[in-house]
Amino acid sequence: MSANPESGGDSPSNSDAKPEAWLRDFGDHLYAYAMFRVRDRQIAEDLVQEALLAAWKGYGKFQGRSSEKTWLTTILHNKIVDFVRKASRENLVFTEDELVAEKPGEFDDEGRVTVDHRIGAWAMRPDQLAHSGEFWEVLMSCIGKLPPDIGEVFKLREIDGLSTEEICKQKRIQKNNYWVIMHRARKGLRECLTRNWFGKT
Amino acid sequence: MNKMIPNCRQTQELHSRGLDEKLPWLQRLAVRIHCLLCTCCSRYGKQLKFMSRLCDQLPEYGDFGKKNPMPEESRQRIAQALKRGPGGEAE
Repeated sequence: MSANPESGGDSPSNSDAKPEAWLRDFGDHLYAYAMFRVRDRQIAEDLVQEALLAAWKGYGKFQGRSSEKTWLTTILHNKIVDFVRKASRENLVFTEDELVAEKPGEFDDEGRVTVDHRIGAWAMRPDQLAHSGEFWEVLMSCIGKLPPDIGEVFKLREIDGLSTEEICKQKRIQKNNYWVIMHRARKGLRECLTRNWFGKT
Repeated sequence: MNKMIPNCRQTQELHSRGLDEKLPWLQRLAVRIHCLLCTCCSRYGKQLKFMSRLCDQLPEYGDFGKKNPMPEESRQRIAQALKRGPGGEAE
């Protein structure tokens, strides 16, 4: 056994890394993911660069258990999460209209779902979806259709994995408002996915 | 329904909230009872959970680059930075 598992034995060292090939093969993917999260070209570029350099430096730890693409995406994901955590706080302000989650006539006077708005079943087959590129594009475009600030809160929670407390602090929103925002976002996304994917026959 | 049991509107709100924090047990129980009696809300809850899992997998499975390729200038700047080595040193 080598004293230093990161440089000895069969583990790759960082001289085996192929950063130029990563940039060539996965650059578009990484950049577009960063853009999806930060919506700023310069920041996206910086994050991709940081991620590639970090990957190069840490290549010895790459075990080959996932594909290089997945591994690089995870490193970029972590860089993005660090970035959004450190980003300056801002006040998100929502209009009442934006926070209305329900459609007219969706519920009756007693708050029951009405016949026209019944919720249909989804065929939930995660293994099939995983390898359907088309599905992930629909998911991204549905997230993109949420009102921008609502979409941002949603992404912080569901894509970046920040806690409710962190998000409320970061965006200076009350917890009560936060519940409404997330409810609104999830409801909108569920409808969009039903329309564009799960409800299609 | 009984006053202890939330209606559909409230149940849907609670489904969402339950994904962000653990609801008090009495509320969880009330949601479950509602869902035993209501296919719509039962489906709604399952679909929300499923969506959350999909969002978690999006970075891994999504292929982002097809529609928004990296601008050539960005690519060149990053390539330059990579020439300087992993720690930024000249090779």
